Amino acid sequence: MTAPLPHRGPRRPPRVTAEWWKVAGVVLATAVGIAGLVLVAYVVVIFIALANMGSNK
Amino acid sequence: MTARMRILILLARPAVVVLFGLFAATGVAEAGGASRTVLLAKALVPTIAFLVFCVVVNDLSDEAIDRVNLPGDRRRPLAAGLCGRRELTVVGVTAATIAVTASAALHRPAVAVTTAGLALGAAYSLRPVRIADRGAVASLLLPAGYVAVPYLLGVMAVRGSVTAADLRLLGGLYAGFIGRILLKDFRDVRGDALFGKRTFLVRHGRRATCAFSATCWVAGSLILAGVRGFDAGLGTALGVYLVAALGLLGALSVDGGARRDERLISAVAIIARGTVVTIIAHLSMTDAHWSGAVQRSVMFGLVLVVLGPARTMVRRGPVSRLTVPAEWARQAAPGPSAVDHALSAGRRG
Repeated sequence: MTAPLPHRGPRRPPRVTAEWWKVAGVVLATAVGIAGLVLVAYVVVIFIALANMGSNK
Repeated sequence: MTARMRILILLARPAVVVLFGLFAATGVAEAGGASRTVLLAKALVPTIAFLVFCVVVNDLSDEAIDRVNLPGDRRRPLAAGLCGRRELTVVGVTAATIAVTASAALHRPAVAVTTAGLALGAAYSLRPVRIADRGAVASLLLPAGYVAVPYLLGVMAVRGSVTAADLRLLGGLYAGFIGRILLKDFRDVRGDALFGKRTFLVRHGRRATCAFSATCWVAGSLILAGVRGFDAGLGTALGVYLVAALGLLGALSVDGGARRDERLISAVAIIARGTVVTIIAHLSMTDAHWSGAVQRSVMFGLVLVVLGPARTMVRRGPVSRLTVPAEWARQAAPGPSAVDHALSAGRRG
């Protein structure tokens, strides 16, 4: 008679899924961060460099 | 999420973000689109993404050097231990993807410009090429990418072709930027020498670096004299900036300590940014057909606005945002020792 198989306990979620969520978070944070930097650069450049810009009208 | 965005903002160095934005604005103004601010916004997206990519790649490759030069500096999150290499790699890949995708929204050559800039940024820092270790070549190629990419993206936000006048202005900005970027090696000289990074300063020393920087400033100013609609007002402004920069470089050629170096180099950076702003103002006013007297008044005001902070920087240095709370200082200060008590008791006795 063979020994019973050891009980493995509840199944844990695969590590790959957790890694992908982390990568997605970094990608999203990068995209939002770049958008924020673009906004900052746009506002600053507008105020500093284009504030004395004339109109063609 | 918030922590990662904060790291990204620290990584990108806001002052460099503004500088790249100014180069892009110069390109937009040169192409005649100064009054169409939407075009500037379109050019800024691939420009900033390109900057983030270059900074990430540089930080990944210079982690060991940054641990020596800038220990604990939060602007180097990898060296300061704020994030891991894998995370930073994902940031770099994402930034490159955004840069190429966003440049496709401009005129067609913008994609080629962005791709070439990304390739240069990678080759500058990554082995086996690692242009950063090649002294004079690094000093010539890095400014080419840092100036040309934002500037050309700005031009290509307006039109799909580049003229000889565009390239002439690019040449003037490029020469001036070489002169400025050589000075950044002063801060990193100790770590660079330790790790065998043969920058121009490590190879040739302080005086030669300042002399070469001064030569680049003169060459850049002479080339900028060919900018569209050049007049006496712009010429006077550029001349004043040049004299001020040469004076600062002359002072920097004498070793007066790291803090003095930092003050002088920061003042040179202020004048360099002021030069770019003055060029943008000139192109904008020319396109708007402002009268000569008004243009000269604006130029005079800009010169004052630039030289004032530069002078303050030389005299007082950069203002630190970090101050030690008074309570901490009191707690850290040593109290009277037993010897002091004994001495005072002896005096009373």
